[in-house]
Amino acid sequence: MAARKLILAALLSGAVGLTAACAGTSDADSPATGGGTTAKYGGTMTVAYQSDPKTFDPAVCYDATCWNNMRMLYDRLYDYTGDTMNIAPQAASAEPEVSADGLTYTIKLRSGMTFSDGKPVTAKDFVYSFGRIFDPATKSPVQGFWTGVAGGAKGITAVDDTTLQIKMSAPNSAFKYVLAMPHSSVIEDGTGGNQPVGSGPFTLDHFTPGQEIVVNRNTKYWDSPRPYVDKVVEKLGVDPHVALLSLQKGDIDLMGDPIPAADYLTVTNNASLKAQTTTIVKPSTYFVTMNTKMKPFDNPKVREAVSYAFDRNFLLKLVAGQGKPANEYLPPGITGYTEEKLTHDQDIAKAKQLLSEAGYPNGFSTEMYSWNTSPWTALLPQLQQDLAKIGITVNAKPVQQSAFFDLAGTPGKAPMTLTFWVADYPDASDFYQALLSCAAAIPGGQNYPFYCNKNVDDLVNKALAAKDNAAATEVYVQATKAMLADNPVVPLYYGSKTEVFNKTVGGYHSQPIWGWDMTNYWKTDGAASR
Amino acid sequence: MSRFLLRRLPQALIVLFGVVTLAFLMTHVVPGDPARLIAGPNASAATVASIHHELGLDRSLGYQYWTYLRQAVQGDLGTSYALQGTSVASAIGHALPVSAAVAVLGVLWEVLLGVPIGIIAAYRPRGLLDRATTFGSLIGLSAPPFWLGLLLLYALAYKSSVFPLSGYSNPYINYLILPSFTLGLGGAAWYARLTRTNMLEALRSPYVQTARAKGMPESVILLRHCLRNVLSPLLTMLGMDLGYFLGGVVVIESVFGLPGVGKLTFDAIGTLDIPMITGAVLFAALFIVVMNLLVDLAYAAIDPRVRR
Repeated sequence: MAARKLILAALLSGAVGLTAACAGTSDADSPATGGGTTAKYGGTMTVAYQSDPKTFDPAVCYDATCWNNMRMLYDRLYDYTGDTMNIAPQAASAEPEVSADGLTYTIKLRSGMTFSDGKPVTAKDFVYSFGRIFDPATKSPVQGFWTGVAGGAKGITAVDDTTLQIKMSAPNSAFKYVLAMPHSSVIEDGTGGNQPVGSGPFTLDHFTPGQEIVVNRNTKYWDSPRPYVDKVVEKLGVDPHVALLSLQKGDIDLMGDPIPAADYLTVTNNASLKAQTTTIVKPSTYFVTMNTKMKPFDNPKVREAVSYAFDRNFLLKLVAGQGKPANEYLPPGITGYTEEKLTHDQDIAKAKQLLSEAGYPNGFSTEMYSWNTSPWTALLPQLQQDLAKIGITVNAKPVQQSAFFDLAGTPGKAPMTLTFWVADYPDASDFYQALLSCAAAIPGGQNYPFYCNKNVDDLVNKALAAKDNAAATEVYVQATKAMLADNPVVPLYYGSKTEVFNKTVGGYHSQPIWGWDMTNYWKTDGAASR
Repeated sequence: MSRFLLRRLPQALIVLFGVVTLAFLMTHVVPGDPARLIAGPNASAATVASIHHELGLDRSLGYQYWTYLRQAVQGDLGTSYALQGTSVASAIGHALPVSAAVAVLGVLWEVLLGVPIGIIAAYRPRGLLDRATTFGSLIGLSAPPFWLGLLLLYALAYKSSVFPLSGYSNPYINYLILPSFTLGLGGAAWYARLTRTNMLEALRSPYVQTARAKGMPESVILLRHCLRNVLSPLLTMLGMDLGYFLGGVVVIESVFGLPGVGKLTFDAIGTLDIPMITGAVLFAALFIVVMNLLVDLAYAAIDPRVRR
């Protein structure tokens, strides 16, 4: 949902063309898992990252550098299973019980769970962990996900030691996914800050900034015999080019950063790496925004003209086919996605005609902002050319990330942007609330088109109150149709991600929402029993 | 000597003051709100405001600048925005030994490779060796260090396992040889050229002819008489390089995964970590100024004419 998430997703944008376009599951073509199907025990998994994690504190974790550690050190009420976008109970014992009005969530905890120091995990620990997100002193970047909780931190209570209750101010069928986010991890009451105590499959041994993180297997983990490996060593400060060499050489088992753009084709064309490479659909959309409050994009005809300008298949060639043309705003696999074609193919004549109807027969000049990194710098010139064909002269402005967020979020500053969104969870509300809602059309927000349509907002809220996914999808499709009729954004393509792993890794699978599933990976040279 | 110092010290302080001012202003002029970076674009206005207040960003730029200067003089360079709770001074303090090791070894490589090549090239100007070294130093000068580094890693760490691929742990020297060699190779080209030029000039002097006429061995002429003329320009370059490298060599440290000041700066720029950027720039400037001062002092010690 936020800047950091976008940075993560940009990193993940190294990915290849895919065949199966199904809901975030493994590509049918992919060799998927390596190392047989029988888990082995013991051994050390070695991975490499370019950057240090910003934090070990769940309440402030919202980027790729800390996510994998959250998943290793802590448990959440719910977590994603395997390579799917489905959640299953983890620290909870079952699905949440939701009251008939959709406003009260009652969650029973799994019995017998303990923190790594031996103390039992209770509902009070959850109240403490979630309460920290609301505390301004925590400076949590993820507080926005919790605004639906009635009365803020007061809405979260422990009914007894094993029962947690959360009161909402409006029905929100996507809230269960928030409970599966990294920041919703449980830590022991009173241990927030630098060294939280968790109940996860691993415990932190030590962190030497710039050098390494070592975690050991939590021998008392509730989900025995998992985790399979005894130790995970995370090498830090490793350049991705060098990490790739290390992986090929066998020094490391997994790469924490995406395959560098320059090495991407070498890896995907390398026959010996074929069995160790996997590509999945990343639930993400790359799109162009037009500021509906700025001339000439305040004219719906102008925006419509732009929606006919782009050649999606050609754009994908520029990113080595890492994705699939967008047929609507939401990516496949997200609740609310429809296979119906709602985007417009390139039609220069029609676009020109619309521009003349709008009063711009000779076009106009404008500016388009994006990040100054790959793949944006590869895409910008082509978008420029496509728009030149209909008479719009685009001044391309690739800028540094933090500058981009500042400029694009300032009213009247950025007429057009080229940007993207990766799902925090598989529900359309995640693509609407922060990006296209009236509430987000504020300075410093991420509604870069400054788009506000009460009807679309109402439909999204209606979908959140729907009784099941099918009913929600129906309403979301209406919302998407209503929104795309206004053309505040032009969806371009859906991204995918390619990962490479060492032969020594057993049970490997990618996770579309999370990074790794270290609990379920093993070393192929491990022992048959513990 | 003390009068010389008295004159040079204030100059050094003025330079440092200028660098701090520029670094401070430039990081604050760049668009991007640090509070948003800390709290995320999702944070409520109240959270952002409280962070602004906590960081003092709600005060005037002049006040912030004054506060920064006042604290910097006391050795407090603030707290990192990105690595929350880490003081800038301690982060740089931890990274410094790594950068220092790379810097010293890098300069050593420069001298060890550059000076002998320069001497040989000067001794037989336009000879095969001279031409070869001219060409070689051109390559050394032109090769981008990250490319050279990756190439060396590929050959000496990936293809053959002479050196480790990346990281920094005991025995540290194994992790330092390749990066410092990469660093030194580019610089050695400069040293070779400098040595060659100065040696050539010296070799044409009348005293060399005299020495030769009285039958002095060539090695003595070269090393005792001529090489001395190269020492002062060499010393200048050495000092400057050392000061420059101590501030962290971003590219080398990133490629080889060394947790030095350069890597710290590189990461800080990516996250708009203003206190870290300003702190790192200040340190880098400090090293250059200090090394400059030391070189000048060494000059003064060698050559009495400079003292005036």
